[in-house]
Amino acid sequence: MSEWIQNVDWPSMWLSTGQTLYMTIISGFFTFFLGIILGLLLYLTAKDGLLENATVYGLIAAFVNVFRSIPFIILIILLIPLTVIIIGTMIGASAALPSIIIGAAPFYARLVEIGLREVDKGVIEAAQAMGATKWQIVWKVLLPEAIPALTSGMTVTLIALIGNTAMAGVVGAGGLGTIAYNEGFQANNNTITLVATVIILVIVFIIQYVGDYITRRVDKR
Amino acid sequence: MVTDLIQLSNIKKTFQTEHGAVHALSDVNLEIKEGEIFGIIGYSGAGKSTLIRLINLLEKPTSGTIMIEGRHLTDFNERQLREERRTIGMIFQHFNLLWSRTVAQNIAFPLELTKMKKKQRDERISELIQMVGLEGKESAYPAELSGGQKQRVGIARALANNPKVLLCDEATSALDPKTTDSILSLLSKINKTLGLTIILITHEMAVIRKICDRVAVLDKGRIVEEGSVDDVFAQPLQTITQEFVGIHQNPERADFSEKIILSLSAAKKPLLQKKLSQLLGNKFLSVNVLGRQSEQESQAEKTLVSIQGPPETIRSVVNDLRSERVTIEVFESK
Repeated sequence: MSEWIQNVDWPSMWLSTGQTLYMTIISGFFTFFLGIILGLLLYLTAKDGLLENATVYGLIAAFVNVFRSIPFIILIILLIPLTVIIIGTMIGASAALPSIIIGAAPFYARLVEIGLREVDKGVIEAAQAMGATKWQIVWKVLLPEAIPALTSGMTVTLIALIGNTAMAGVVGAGGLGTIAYNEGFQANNNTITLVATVIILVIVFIIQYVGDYITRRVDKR
Repeated sequence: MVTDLIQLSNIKKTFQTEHGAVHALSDVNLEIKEGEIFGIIGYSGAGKSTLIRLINLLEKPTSGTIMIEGRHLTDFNERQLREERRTIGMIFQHFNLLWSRTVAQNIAFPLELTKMKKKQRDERISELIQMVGLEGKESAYPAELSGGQKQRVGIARALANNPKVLLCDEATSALDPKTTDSILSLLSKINKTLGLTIILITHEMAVIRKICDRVAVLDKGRIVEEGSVDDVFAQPLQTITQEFVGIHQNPERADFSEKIILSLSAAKKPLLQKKLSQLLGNKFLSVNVLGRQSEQESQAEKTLVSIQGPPETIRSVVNDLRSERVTIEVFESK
């Protein structure tokens, strides 16, 4: 057992864990806001929506569908020029952020759109009958009523996003994906791969647990 | 002199669907007086929901005008319309409360829209909670309330901004009879104490009977009868109104004369035989069995009978047969 543990360079393992958490938290944060904005726009501009607009809907839907369909490993490569413009480099944890966000936000946007569609039409009608503006309907009705769907959707998105941070690791983003591939797989040190996997699993379980807990707490139905 | 608060003139509403145009409302003219409770009754699909939604312009009329206090609602821009809607309360069949908000927060919603200060708002909320009898439920969520309590929250919310009219969209249709009564009493109390005009739509005559001053009967998008509830009850002119009032309880709307021919059938032979012997034993009627026909598969037996006698007796016999599990067909009623 102790020999087994000695095979692992723990300081660099913890450093990688930190990088993975860094990528997850920062990209999760941006994915959340970008996803809600895109999801709201999809919902509002859809047919019979509050701001029905076929052109805007078509453009956003196309963007969302395209970036949701491109395999992540290809997306990273395609976005290298954009990454260099925004971050200034294509290596390191920060350089992975643009592609992780652009990969995950459209996915979350669709979940947001579905969540908003589940908001009772009658409640929206009631708000209109009370003289609410469209903006008030968004802030006071749509988003608060959809909170359980928004949190459960975010839980699913974060877990998918962690998978993407590991994949980004293979192309030099750092984090648990890099350590598992470089020092584990390529150096033929299976212990490292195993430990990195276990840490990722622990992070996923914690996110799932916390996400489920929050979703239960905010759901007053 | 009582003035018209709301006036609908020559309203027409047509929906465009894949299967062509559907005329939801045609030639609707209505005047609603200040302080009255006005009921609109009709079967589902008659256009009631569309009609009540025209009054706060949740539905736009295809043609015609809607006037409130002499002003044309149909000419308002979006901002004016929002202002106007704040003076028109509305309650719904399915309550339409925000489940993410507590009772007090739900009632606060319309007050937040008008940007009322927090302190004033809290005072107003406790007044309203008292008015609808929900003391102690302030911090409960809608999911924790009964149907009647939810509708009380709906009423408090609708009254928050002191509206001049309250629209009730089948407000008691999802409630049991006892709860319906308590909600109707509350509406009636509000009408009397606040002098609030109430317009309600329903498919239940009991609702009209209990609280309305005047009633309009809506059939296939047209108002076929209108007047004070007492008059309409005393002398319903239209068949559909008679059905609601309960004079015509037979679904086939048949008028009986002195002789009819009936075909009777029942799933169970003994029931049919019992009914037949009752018919034959009726001393006011002359009954002849014309023929029998057995259907082997279903074990149902059809019997053709001619009945002669006073029309009222025939009607009551027919109604009695219909209420039992006997299927009848009237072949001739002349």
